[in-house]
Amino acid sequence: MTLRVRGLTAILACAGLVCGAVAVAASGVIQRRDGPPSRGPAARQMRAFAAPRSAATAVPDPARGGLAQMPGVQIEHARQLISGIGTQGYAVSAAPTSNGGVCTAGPVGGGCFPEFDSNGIAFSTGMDNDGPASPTDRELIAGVASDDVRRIDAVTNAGKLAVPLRNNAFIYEAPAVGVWADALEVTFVDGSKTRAVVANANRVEPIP
Amino acid sequence: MAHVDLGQLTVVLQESYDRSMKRYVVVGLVFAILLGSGGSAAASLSVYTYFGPSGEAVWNVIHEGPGTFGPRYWNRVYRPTGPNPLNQMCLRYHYSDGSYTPWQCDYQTNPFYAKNASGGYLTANPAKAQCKYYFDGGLPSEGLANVTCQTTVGLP
Repeated sequence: MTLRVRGLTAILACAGLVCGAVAVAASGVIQRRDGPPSRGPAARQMRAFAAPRSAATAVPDPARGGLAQMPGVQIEHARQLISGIGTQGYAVSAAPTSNGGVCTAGPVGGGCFPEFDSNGIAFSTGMDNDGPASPTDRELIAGVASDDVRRIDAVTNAGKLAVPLRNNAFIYEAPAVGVWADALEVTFVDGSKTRAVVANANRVEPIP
Repeated sequence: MAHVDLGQLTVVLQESYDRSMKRYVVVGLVFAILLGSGGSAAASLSVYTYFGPSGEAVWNVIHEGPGTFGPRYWNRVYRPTGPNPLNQMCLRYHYSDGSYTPWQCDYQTNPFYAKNASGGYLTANPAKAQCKYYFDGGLPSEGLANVTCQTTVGLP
């Protein structure tokens, strides 16, 4: 983890596995940044890109158009990975990039990343409504997972809920209003587990 | 001899064909230029940076732009990504009636785009685009450097 503060910069480096940097700034604003562990190019860790094409893997036009505009994307290799999930039949599509990264398009955002984090997933968080926010909105989380992810559970204030995971992609829609995920618990093929913190800004935002 | 005549005939035909092709190419180019200028007049989409390009986003401070409500084809953010929500940025639209779309948040992709339910660009009109740096448990003293929030002015 890196802690940096603008202005005068004092860096404390720790030997071994943990490195930290602390800097103090005149403004007092603290900047945080973590260094990602390397797992290798993300596209190589998604066997869904190598799977035979079918009607189910065809990327619908809205998602295809968005993916095609992303930097370095190889749109000819794009796949719809998961579909028909939740109240609006949500889907996640993805495409590899020329440098081995992956670009995604889901119902709560999309973008590109070069490598998976150590948790094996990449996801975005929002609500199951893309119009004006409403009190009936429920949390929606969607993303992609590396080949070594076997299972994902949402750790929520209503207990642990299984998340649909297919072809390297997953979508979670909260079962009711007010159910919020604190984390996604990832179970790897070797049985080990890790957690990715979920920080949904809508959880604390009043609806005008 | 017959061979030579045949050759000359072939050459003549080839020259005539080339001249015709040149005419078609010229006409085609003029047509393409006219079509292009008409198309660009109809599609006045341009990128608008409303935060950054090397801005420091402070925790939970909302950035908004442009100054007037209008058609927004997409909303996106560039910033350093990280392996946890400490690098999370959120995007949404502010409508002219005072309502807002829900935030869409991400800490791993760069750029990160707001999307609709179908995975296409989240488009809003009339609206202003917003972005903010947010993660649970953050403090107003915390910020994320090298952030760029962009939207579009107009529609394609």
